[in-house]
Amino acid sequence: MLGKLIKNEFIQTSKSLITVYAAAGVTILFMLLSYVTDITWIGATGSSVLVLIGFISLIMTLVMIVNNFAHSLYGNQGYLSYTLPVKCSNLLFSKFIVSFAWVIIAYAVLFLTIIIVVWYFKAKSNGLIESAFEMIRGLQVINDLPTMNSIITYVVVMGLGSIVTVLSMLSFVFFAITVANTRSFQHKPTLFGLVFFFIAYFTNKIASTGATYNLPLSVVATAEGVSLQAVSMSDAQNVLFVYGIGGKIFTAVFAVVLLLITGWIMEKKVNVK
Amino acid sequence: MKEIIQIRNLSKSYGHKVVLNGIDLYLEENQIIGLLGPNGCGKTTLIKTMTGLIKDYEGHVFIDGEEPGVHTKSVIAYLPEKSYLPDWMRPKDAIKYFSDFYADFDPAKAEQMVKDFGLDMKQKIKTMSKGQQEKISLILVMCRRAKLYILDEPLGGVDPAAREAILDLILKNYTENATVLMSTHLIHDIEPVLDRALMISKGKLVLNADVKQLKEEGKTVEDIFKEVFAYAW
Repeated sequence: MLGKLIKNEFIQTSKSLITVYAAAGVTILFMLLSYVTDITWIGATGSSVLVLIGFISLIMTLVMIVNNFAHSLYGNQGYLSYTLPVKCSNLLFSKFIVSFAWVIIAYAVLFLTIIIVVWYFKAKSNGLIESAFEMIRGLQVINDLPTMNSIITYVVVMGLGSIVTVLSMLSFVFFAITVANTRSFQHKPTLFGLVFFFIAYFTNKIASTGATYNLPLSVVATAEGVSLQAVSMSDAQNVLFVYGIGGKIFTAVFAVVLLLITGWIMEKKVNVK
Repeated sequence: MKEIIQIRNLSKSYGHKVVLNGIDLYLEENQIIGLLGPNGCGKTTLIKTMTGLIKDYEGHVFIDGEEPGVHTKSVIAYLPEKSYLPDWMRPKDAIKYFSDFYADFDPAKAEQMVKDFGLDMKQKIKTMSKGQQEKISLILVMCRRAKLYILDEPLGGVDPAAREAILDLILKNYTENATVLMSTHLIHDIEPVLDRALMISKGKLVLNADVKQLKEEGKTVEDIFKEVFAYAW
């Protein structure tokens, strides 16, 4: 049943995002046309539009996730969702998986739009951007900075950290909406949804910041390479590329706990209006 | 005969307002049951506890021997009072959706019924008239081979001619030996088809009677309804 829930969740959520991705596709086609025909104004306009679409897709995705979760479980559609012969945990998990996938897609589209714009200008700028990259490489040698490979590995670790952040934000949103739709708070679900979201968000922010700076566990990138070291960020303030992961570990655990609570409320305390 | 619904000492409040107050109800299968009462008497809340839409109640609810959960949801075909299908759905999408989740759903029968009612398989349900939307919802429910059909105000908001068509659709399509529980305040329309009548007043079950027996005693459900709910008018 989980597979069917995920499939139908994808179908449902794609309806509200298909337009923005279609717009991105059309803009890319225009930019290709500009590249082939050498009509620069199309490319210049297209690149601005493309980056804008990248950001719009991200914002629309976040709005869609909140709306879809609230309406499909606690609006009229809740009468359909909660009477399906599936476990509430599966219902929650399917929404979590699909929402996560859409956020990743939105980030990928944003990243892709930036890559395309950079590529376009690289092709049109007669080596200007390549010179900039060369300059950065020169600086690395002079200043004994980490190699490009080390920086890439470091960025990948930061990317994984960002994924934890995205997953935790989804968990906070689902938790907040679900608590706000229990009997005690459902007379003002939007207000209480915001209140519970910010409670979850700031609780995590304070605790994870403390863990990031004080737990002795960091990823450090130096000229010798990237390594996991038993140092806290506060003890390594003179190192340029240090990434404390204690906070991310706390965030991941906190997000899982909130998801489990959300699932329990859906199973035991649901009260669809 | 097996009891399809067993409810023991069920209570439910919204804040200080008691909506259901110590309901005890045991209903055997293979009956058409009317759940009767004026608006706000607790009919929908009672139905929501049976369908798993409300879990924070006191007391015990068993459907087909189990508390509301995956099994009970698989044997209940439920028609809510509200329009509950997503805005983007067309009848063909809704049929596909029900086929995915309900093993007892008959998609071919549903498609045929949509055509028989002159509805467009590709029209968005939200753009249909209220009557057409109700027909689609009812078709989806009645094309399941369920053990228990729970229909919340299936006759509400439609004209008398449409009521007859809807009742006809229900009576011709429910599974043999299944139980049909219909909530309504339109007693006159459904009295002829009822086997049993339940009346809820101020959160309490005030009548649970065999309609045939009532008739033998020279009473009608409508008369009892007027008597019980005189306060409401």
